[in-house]
Formats: sequence, C-alpha cells, structure tokens
Amino acid sequence: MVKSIVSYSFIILGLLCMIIGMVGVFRFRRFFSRILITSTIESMGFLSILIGIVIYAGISFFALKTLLIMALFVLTNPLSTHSIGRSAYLSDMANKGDSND
Amino acid sequence: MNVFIVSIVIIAGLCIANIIRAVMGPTIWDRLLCLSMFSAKVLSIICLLAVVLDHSYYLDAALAFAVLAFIGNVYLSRYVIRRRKDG
Repeated sequence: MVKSIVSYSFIILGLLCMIIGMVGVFRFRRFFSRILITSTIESMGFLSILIGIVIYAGISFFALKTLLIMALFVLTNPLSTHSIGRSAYLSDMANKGDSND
Repeated sequence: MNVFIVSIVIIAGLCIANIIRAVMGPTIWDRLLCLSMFSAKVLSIICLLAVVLDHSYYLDAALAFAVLAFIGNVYLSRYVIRRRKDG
C-alpha cells in the first residue's frame, strides 16, 4: 500500500513537471531559454515517471528493463539537446528573437 | 491501476500541445526541439502502457525508440547547420 502511494506520488510529480515544461515552451520567446526547458524540466518529468514505475514494479525483470531505459535516456537526452543548441548557435541563431523574457 | 490510465491521457493531451508548438515554431530548430520533447513523451507513454497491459516486451520497443530518437535528433541537427557569413 505504501509502495503504491509512493509510486503514484512520483508519477504525479512527473506529470506536473511535464505540464510546467509545456507551459514554459509556449511562454518563453527566445530559443535558448526554450532549450533550458527541454534539457532540464522534460528530463525531470520523464525520470520521475520512470522512477514511479520502478517502485511500482518492485524487484523484477520489468524494473531492470525500466532502469536500462532510464540510463539510456540520461545519457542521450543531454547529448541531443546540446547538438540542437550547437546547430542553432553555429547557424547564427543567437541574435534573432526579441528579448523580453 | 487507474492512475496510469489517467496519466496516459494527460500525456497524450500534452503531445497534442507539443504538435501545435511545432507547427507554430518559426525556425527549424524550434521544430527539432519539439521533436526531442515529443520523443520523451512517447517513451513515457510506452512505459506506462507496459505497466497497464502488464507486458514486459513493450519496454524493448521503448528501448529501440529511444536509440532511434537520439540518432534522428543528432543527425537532423547536424544536417541543418548553416555556416556564418563571416566564416
């Protein structure tokens, strides 16, 4: 029972992070502010949801696979976000957009 | 079990908002950023669906999708680099 409550709390925390990240992506005007949202808030939401699933599944093969997906996401999501930001910076994107954040 | 289904519905709604943002985005880098966020949302939907249906092999599909989303993001963002005017 305690395990279910902890797992549901983590999943609801992840959903809140995803909703806040979506609001931020609509709210911010500059591109490099939006990269911050994707790199931190989305990772936080995804990892919280997967931690909730791991706690719900307990010690099993299912939880091991979920931990593998978590490790892969932690490795690859900052790399892809950095790649997008580097591409935008090298293409002279930094001077565009209005600065009223 | 009910919390998982409700969270799948909420994340699906967030996916629709993400598609709207990708259509609104003025440059291609906004759309790439929305693609990155969209892949994270699809991954979490697949993992929650694996819990709801109690099938462990949905997670293999999630693993393959994570690798493919990473490769697609890196390849597309390297493909669209334009050099500056002053070298």
